[in-house]
Amino acid sequence: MADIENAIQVKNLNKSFKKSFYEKRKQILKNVSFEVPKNKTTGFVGNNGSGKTTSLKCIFEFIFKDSGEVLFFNEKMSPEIRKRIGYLPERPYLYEFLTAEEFLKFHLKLSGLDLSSLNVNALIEETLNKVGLLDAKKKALRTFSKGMLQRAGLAQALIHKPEILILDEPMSGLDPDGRLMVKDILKEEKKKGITIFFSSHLLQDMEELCDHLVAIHHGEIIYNADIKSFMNKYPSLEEAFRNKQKEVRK
Amino acid sequence: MRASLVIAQTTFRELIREKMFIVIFFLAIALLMLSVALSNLSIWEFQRILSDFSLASMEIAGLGIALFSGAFMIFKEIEKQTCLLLLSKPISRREFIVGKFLGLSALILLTLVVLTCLLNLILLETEFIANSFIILLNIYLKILVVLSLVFLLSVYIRPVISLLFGLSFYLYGHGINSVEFLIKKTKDENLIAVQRLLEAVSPQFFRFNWKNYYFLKSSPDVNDILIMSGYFLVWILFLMALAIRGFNRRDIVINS
Repeated sequence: MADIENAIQVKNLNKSFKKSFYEKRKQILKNVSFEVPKNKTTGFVGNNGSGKTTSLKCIFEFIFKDSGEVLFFNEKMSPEIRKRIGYLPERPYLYEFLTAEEFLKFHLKLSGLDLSSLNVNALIEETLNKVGLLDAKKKALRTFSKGMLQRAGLAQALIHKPEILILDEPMSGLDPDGRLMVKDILKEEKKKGITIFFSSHLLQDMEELCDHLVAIHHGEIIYNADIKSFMNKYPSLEEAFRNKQKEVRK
Repeated sequence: MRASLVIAQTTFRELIREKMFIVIFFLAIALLMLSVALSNLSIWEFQRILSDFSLASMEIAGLGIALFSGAFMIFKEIEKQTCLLLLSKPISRREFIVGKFLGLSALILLTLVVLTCLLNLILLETEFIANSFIILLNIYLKILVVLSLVFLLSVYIRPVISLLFGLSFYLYGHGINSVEFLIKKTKDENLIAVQRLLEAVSPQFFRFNWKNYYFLKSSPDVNDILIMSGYFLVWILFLMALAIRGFNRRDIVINS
């Protein structure tokens, strides 16, 4: 029964890729198993190329796992489950000829919500306001800066009020104000009881936001528990993570 | 299906604002105007030359949009990962690819309808209007066959290659009888066998080249229209089914 406390469970996930016809398959994920507790914020940490994005893509079935299982609220991925998730990929490129308003309306229509009972325009304005883009409502996305695009991407993940937010590097490429804004949004969502699962290189932000931590190194999970125990005797998450990597290398 | 229509609507909106579409569209209008200029050089066959050139311009414009937008559409969605945002929603990969196809098809249809109306306005021959729209249907369906092939190929290979393949497929489909005639002249058994194989796996566009109907007093027979539409629809459905199957099975990863 303890499983019901987890919003996401990943069990023994394996994935290998073959870059070209002549190359050997390379194992990217090796028996990856971890949990994302319900109503908590979980950070997913690892170096570049450690398998964070591949894990997230396997979770969403954008790429097909070789073996393993992914469960959301104890169920396999389905359209019903997808309705309950908000997702932001790393470096989102959005349809640049749409305005911010058109972009959000488009995603709202695909979110599976019954729009007849909603005030769509009010919802779009509320979401744009939340990410600080209300003034840019009528502007085409191609005129947006990198930070504004990231915030527009975050807005589409939030607009249908999901129960789980999965974000791949949500703070990368943002200026200090942008980072602060994203952190504030995540804190606000956390207060509402939304389960948040995000990957990041910015360990300081992770330390500030997370309750739970999943660390991955060369495609293997090296830590999966609450962040306080991970940091234990270390003054910062950065030092704790560095030390953990050294331990694994030994 | 609802999700496909939402994606189609947005794809249409996005494409119509793109520079490439605007360039092709105005190029087609320029060709139409060039047809008027060329037809003025002729004493007897003014209308004939005008309609021939104009219908060819329409087909080139539609084909240009299908090849350039179609070949790069799925590739760009994967390379820029825009499709990840959509596929994280409760929609299937089939709905996604069908939506993209419908959006682009609607844009091609709009282009052809506008150009056909312009042609009719220039000619001001009311008795040929019905025929002009039957020719439009014929051109449109041929272009959609090429578009669905380009969609299928772009799931697997680079867009430039699928574009060139699509163009060859279109040219070959129109010139099968000429190619067959030339290859028979060589009397090379191997070449003849290859030609027969290619003929069997290619749509025979040359059998349904209806541009000459414009100045015929009679329209094509209803049965012929149904056969032509059915023939091309079967090709479109077959190629799109293969494209969906391919897209359903592929890992969405950046290749470059």
